[in-house]
Amino acid sequence: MSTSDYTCETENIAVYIDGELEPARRTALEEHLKQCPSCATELQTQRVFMCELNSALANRYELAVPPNFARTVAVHAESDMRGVRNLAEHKRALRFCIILGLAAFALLGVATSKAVVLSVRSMAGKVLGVVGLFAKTTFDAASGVTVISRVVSRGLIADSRLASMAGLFVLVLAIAVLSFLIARYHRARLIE
Amino acid sequence: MSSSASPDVLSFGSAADRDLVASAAQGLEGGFEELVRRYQRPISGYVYRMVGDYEAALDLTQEIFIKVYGSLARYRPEFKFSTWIYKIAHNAAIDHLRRNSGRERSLIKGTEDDNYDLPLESEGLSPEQQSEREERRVEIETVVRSLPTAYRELVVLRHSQDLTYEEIVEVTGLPLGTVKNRLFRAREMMRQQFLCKGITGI
Repeated sequence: MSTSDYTCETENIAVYIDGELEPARRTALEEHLKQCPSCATELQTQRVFMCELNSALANRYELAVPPNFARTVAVHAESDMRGVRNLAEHKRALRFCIILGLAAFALLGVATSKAVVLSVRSMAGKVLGVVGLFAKTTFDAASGVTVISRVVSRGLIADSRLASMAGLFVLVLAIAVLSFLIARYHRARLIE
Repeated sequence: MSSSASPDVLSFGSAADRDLVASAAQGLEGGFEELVRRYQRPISGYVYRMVGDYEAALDLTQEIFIKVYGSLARYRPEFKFSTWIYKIAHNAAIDHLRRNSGRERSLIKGTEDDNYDLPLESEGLSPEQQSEREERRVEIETVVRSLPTAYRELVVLRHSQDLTYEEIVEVTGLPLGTVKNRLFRAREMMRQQFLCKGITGI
């Protein structure tokens, strides 16, 4: 691009001050500035203006942040689980969860089986004790009754076989008569 | 760097950004804190000039750093970290402005008094210089605040954050021609406003 082709463009001057003009255009502009007082004045004006802007908005006028802001923000960020977006981290977390779940289930199972076995064993022991006591008592009572009845029957039979036979007969007769009397009483009530 | 920084943090002081990112991604303590310490002021300053509210800017800055931490695994070292973090900040600020479109209007209508209450820091200037600078700074800040967001952002990225055109293209996703044109028009708007206000010497 020759100097004579150059048209006065204030936008190019701004880009030039920013140091962003391509080398060819920069050379052309510098040549043009030597011959164009208007553009040279514009360059000076824009340069002053941009210096003012840079100075007013410079970093030394940044906001004051609260003390320990960096520490607080870092702690918040590092404890924030929304950051776990990585697929590998998700898989690892899932594996850990499954392992922990299985371990918890196994430990719970062991604890439960222990509790069940112990309680069933102690309950069975108590039930067996009660049953044994009842059986022993029944057995003792039966054997006592047997002994007593044997002694009584031996005494009766030893005194008089006839008397005992007579007693037995009377007993059978009494039972028969009693049943006959009861039947008769009921029949009479039905007739009335 | 604060005096309460741990020895781990101190050892990261001279490390390059990409080394800090690598150590933070590996979960090493102190790496990410040093990154936050380096970028907290530029990012909060950029966000403040975008949203116009100090408290909202601090909340948004924290949100941006949490997003950065969550995306560290996706960061590619061939790109400049500062450009990458500004891109995240740009997206967060634009989302915030969309959610709070009422605040955007108040930002444009902001008065000069808003600037006097800001907890700004200035270093190494005499009281007289500070007073003069402060007056001029407030005038310029007010004019910058009056610009539409699309123009204001480019002025802030270029003049406050010192980004190149190429970096601004990466951060905003705009074509280079649009960046150049908007920057030029933004500066023209500001010059016109200074002329209207009768401010000379700019």
